[in-house]
Amino acid sequence: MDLKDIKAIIDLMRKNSLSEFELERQDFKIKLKRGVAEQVIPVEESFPAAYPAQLPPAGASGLSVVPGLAAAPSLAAPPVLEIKSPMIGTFYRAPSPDAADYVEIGSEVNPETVVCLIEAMKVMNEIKAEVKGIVTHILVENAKPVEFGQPLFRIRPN
Amino acid sequence: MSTVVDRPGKIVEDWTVWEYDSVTSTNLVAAELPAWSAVRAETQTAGRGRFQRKWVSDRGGLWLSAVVPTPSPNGRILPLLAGVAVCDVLYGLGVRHLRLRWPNDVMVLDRKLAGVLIDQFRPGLAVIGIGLNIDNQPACYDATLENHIERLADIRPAPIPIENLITVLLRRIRSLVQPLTAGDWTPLLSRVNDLWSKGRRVELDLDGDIRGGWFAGVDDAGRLLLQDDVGASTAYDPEKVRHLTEMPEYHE
Repeated sequence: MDLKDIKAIIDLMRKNSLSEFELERQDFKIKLKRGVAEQVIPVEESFPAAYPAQLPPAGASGLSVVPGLAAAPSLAAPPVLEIKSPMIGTFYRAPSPDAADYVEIGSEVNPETVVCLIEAMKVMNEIKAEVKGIVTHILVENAKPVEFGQPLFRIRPN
Repeated sequence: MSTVVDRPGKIVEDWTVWEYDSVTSTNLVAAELPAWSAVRAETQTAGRGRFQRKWVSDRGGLWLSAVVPTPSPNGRILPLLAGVAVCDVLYGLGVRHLRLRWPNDVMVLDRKLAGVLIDQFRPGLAVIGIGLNIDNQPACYDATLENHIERLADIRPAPIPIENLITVLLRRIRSLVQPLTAGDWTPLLSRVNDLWSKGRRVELDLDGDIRGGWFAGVDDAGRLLLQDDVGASTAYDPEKVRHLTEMPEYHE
């Protein structure tokens, strides 16, 4: 489905005064809503995990808001983010034993900052922060195995 | 600092090759380059091995990094592919008794002739770093390497121009990576399974949890297969294997 098809659906919704349209196929899902501001909900695409053993590309680390910590209703307390491991492997804090750690507690990171390496099968994957903030917690010890989705760092946005 | 000793960006077949006298690591220099670029240096000051070990990269060896698109669909194939490419080229040069030690150490009998370390700096691109001992003297820099390494010059007396070696290696890497973009890695898997020393007693270190068995290659999902004494196979996810140790073979 391309942009032209989506526009055609929106036109049909207008003509028929439909407020909501949803289509889901095996690897594609689209949901459109017309409201007061005629807002279009972003298209969601999902692909089946045909190859569960696949290593995600470097930099695809998951980010999530820490439950509880982030749920604080006060606007004064910004949510704390977690950088999660995008793969199974061994976690390294520095590029080599002689080198300084990529980040320490208190380090300021931006989305492009490399925070660690995860190694599997002699493939060294550089993991980027993908978020801007300050490192508040380092959750894994150097040279320890990590699981897919395991939290590695906590970041306080700034 | 790196010193360019040749024209930068020399075209070698379908590759652009950057040549340096000395760099920290050819993989690091290649980090920003596009696919089908390669970096070669006479020496590396901070060559790396697995587990953050240093890799001795003295003059006389081949230290080469090749930037390739990450093959899909399975990331487990790339480290295996790199080992196969090096073996194929060496076999073509007349080197015999070649084998792979998981995942991609290139061995001649029980000595290591070449090693591979891959860096994934950017999504979709991988840097394959290859270190090949030719007539360098790594044991002079690290005495523990004595009796554990092999050098091409010692097993193939006729010297090979390093430019020719680079050309055939890059050609082989490209010819193995390109079909994988179509997702078919079965032929390569069969090739890699021919190169293991199968039936050898090994120990897998799963972060301190040691599993012993007879190495039986990798399955079609890239998992390591170990057989027990009655021939029953167990498959291990390679990402969890910290190290594979080959047990000494005893000969009468």
